[in-house]
Amino acid sequence: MSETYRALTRKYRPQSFEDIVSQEHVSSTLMNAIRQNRLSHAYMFCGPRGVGKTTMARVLARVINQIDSTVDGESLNQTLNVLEMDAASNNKVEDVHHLRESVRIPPSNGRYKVYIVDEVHMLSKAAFNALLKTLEEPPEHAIFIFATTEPHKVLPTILSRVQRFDFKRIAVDEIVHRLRKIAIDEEIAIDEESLHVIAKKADGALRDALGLMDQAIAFCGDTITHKELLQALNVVGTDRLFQFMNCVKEHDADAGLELINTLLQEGYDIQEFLIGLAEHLRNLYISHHSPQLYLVEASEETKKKYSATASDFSRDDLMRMLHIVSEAQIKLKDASQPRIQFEITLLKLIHMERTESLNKLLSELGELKKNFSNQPILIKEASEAPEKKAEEPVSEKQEENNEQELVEPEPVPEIVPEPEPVNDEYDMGQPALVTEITQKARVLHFPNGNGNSTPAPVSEVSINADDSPVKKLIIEDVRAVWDDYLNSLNNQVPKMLELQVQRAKPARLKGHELILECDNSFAQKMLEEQAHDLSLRMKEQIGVMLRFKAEVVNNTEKQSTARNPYERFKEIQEKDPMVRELVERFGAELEY
Amino acid sequence: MNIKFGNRRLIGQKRAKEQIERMLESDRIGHAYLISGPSGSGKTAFALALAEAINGIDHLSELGEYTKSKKSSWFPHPDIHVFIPKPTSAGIDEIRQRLELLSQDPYEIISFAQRPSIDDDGSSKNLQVFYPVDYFRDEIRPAARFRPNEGDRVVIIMTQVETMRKETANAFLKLLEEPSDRLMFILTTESYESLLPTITSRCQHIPLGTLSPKDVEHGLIDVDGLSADDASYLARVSGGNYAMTRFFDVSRLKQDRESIVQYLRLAFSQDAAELSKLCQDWQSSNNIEGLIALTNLMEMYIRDLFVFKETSNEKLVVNIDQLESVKKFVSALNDARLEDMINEIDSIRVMLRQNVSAKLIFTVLALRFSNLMRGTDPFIPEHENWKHLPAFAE
Repeated sequence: MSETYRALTRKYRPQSFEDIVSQEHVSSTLMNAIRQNRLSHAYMFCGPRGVGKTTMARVLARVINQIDSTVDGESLNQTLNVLEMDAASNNKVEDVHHLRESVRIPPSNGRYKVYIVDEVHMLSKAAFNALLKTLEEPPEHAIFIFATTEPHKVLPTILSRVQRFDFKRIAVDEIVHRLRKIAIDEEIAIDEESLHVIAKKADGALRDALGLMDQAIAFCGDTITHKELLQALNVVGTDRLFQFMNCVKEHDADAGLELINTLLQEGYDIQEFLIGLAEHLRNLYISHHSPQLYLVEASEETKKKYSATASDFSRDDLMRMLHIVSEAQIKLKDASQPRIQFEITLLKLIHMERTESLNKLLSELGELKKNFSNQPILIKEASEAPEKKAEEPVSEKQEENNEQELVEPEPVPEIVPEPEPVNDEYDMGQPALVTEITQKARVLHFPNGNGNSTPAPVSEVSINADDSPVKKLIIEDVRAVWDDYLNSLNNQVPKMLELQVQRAKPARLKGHELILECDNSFAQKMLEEQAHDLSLRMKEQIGVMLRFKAEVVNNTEKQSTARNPYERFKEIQEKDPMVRELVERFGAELEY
Repeated sequence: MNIKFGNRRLIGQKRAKEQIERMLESDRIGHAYLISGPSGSGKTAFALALAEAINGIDHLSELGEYTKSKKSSWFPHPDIHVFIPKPTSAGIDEIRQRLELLSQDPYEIISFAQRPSIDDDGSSKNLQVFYPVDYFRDEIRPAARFRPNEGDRVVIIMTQVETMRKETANAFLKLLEEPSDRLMFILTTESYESLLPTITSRCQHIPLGTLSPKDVEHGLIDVDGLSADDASYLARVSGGNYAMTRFFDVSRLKQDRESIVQYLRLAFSQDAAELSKLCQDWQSSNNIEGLIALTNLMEMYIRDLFVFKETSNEKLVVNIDQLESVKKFVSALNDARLEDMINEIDSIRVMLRQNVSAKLIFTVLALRFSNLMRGTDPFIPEHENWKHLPAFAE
């Protein structure tokens, strides 16, 4: 076994700024700083794995201490002026104390003493704090370079004391370029398409790309062909994916399952297949629109195949499939039997209703609606305005029975004598007597379950009845004292309640009933529960006992839900200059 | 180096074997490999065989002229170190015992979680295993300092690295990226996705696939001396898990399956008395791993229902002995929402792991199933779901 062999990732670790792939924004800044002698005493390099953080730190250390290239990057640590340590194994306060001690000692030769601290996010909080003082005012000769993949875990007090550089993921083209150069150096023959496969799979990390290249060389030898590469890297080829999509088109679950069965037994990874499938679907989606075909990274022949297959599915369908697949990708990560989840997902794809049949279904539904015109509306009301229902228990009962019949056409006598209270459902020890039908009945009961929580303030009614009217009040009177009233609430009632009252508006006066408008059912509930207390305080202001009643005004709410999030976002922008500023200056986007 | 990798003992995995063979042949051996694959597919066995091949031990693979070491296997070799995740309480002696078992057969189950006690297979103790930081600092890192004694390289094998805590994993990164010249790591994991990207990015990846029933069958017949009938049945229900299948007792397995069918029946008929008896029974005779295995069996059965409903292809059904019940189920319950049932099973595993009482979980599951099997929604009050499943919050 050769002793000289060294993984490509280590062999080709750059030794100068020029060698570092991508990240020009960092290297040029650093080079300028060196040229103008304006080095900061602390840097923080952040970014995903394998983009060159540690490498950049080493190059910087090398350049400012003028260490020549005969010294290997990995043995920099053995030179006296560079100290590389990982914070994960030295994360305690004592380690930081030790570091502080050693910082005081000036470099033996050379100008700077460079401390490279990798994985700095793993330092304990105490260790971070112990470091703060040193970091802010270190001796002239000390330079700290921190590298981390998770900058959000670093204390803000640290972040504010360092110059931070964010490394970006490396673009496919740049990786390809670098790989090509290495292939020439290593005397390996590899075609362009294979380089692309490697670069794409590396997902923006050069280290991954080199690792994959290593793997490919070990597998294929000096000549890497596309076909062998796919095998070496365990990438599912497009022809298999086309085959699968054909099964989806034909709704042929049998063949689809057989296909993935063989795939799995050949040793392909489930995640790998899903990643491939997601990209495949994306390509099909794009192929729908031929001018965009250049966005598909594939050979001409494959592109033709894409356009041909694309017409089998509508864009909406492809979009939905894409959703299903990407959801499955997340779910599979912590499934205990990934294979089953995988199969279910594929069956879902195969049996997914296509848009055409859905449209048919929708029109049928419309027909149905006409026949049972008022039923669906009733259900809606039941959930939206439960308090209304509570007042009319008789009609509710009837409606419920109607619904029952809608679900189950044959007459069901058992339902009527079902007086059980709704609440003690699903008692664990319930005997086996519960039948399917009663279950259903309970499920239907459920929407009104909420209705119980709106107690009509009966007791107050009686109190107020005695309170004879002294003078005729109108709503304007209430509005006039409303501000004072709000002030009087201050510190007298729970803050939560006060806020809710502030947000509510006195709407109208109905005899001695003051009707408040509020915008959600939570506020409504809260106000009604505290109605008595609130009206007592109102009496202090206006001299008359008023009953409080809250109403949810949801026309504004309806409006806003009807619009899609983007439109709402736009509206918020128009309303709020601060948000608009954020959007204009920083390109803030909606995340939901 | 032209050898047949793992030809003495390793089962199936043609692709991975070829990958390793070519790698050995090319002489470009990296410093870190990550072997991933579903449980029981032979990850540890592959790691061991690779370590042996690199150090020229003629044991799991027939090396012929490349044999360099006189040692009989990896176990006595001074340059091969194997580490397994351990519960905090376990000492070095216990690990040693387990490794000794592993040296007798590379497919032996030695994990503390799956097999809490090596003497008593009925033990249902729950052990949590992982790589504590001090285990790493005191045992693993020192091993990495040695120069190879008599072999080519020091090989450090770490199994189930997904159990590695974040702190340990981060402390491991530096060593993993740039180990000394003649040191290499072989890591194995069941879930590649859950590892830190900084770990996976430093390793070359060798994925293992699910074993095909045929491979498992061959293994069972050739190595474990099972009768052809039992082997073919076990292979079919194994789900590609060879290591576990070897320990299955055919009758016990069939019994488990029957109890699951029974459970589903009871769930349908809502026979509370029988149900609670069955659930109690399950709870008292299994530890968490055992309960998870039960849910897996259940999931597998429902998957069969699903697949059979969609394809009516008997070949795709795993639980072939339950084919009758599968057929009956599918024909009787047309609007059963099987997918939702699988989702329900998926959601209860988390709870099992969090030590929610198994009896309660399975009772509740049965109640939900009874609705789902009839194609209706299970009744779970949204704002009061804690009443429905006690002691669980997401």
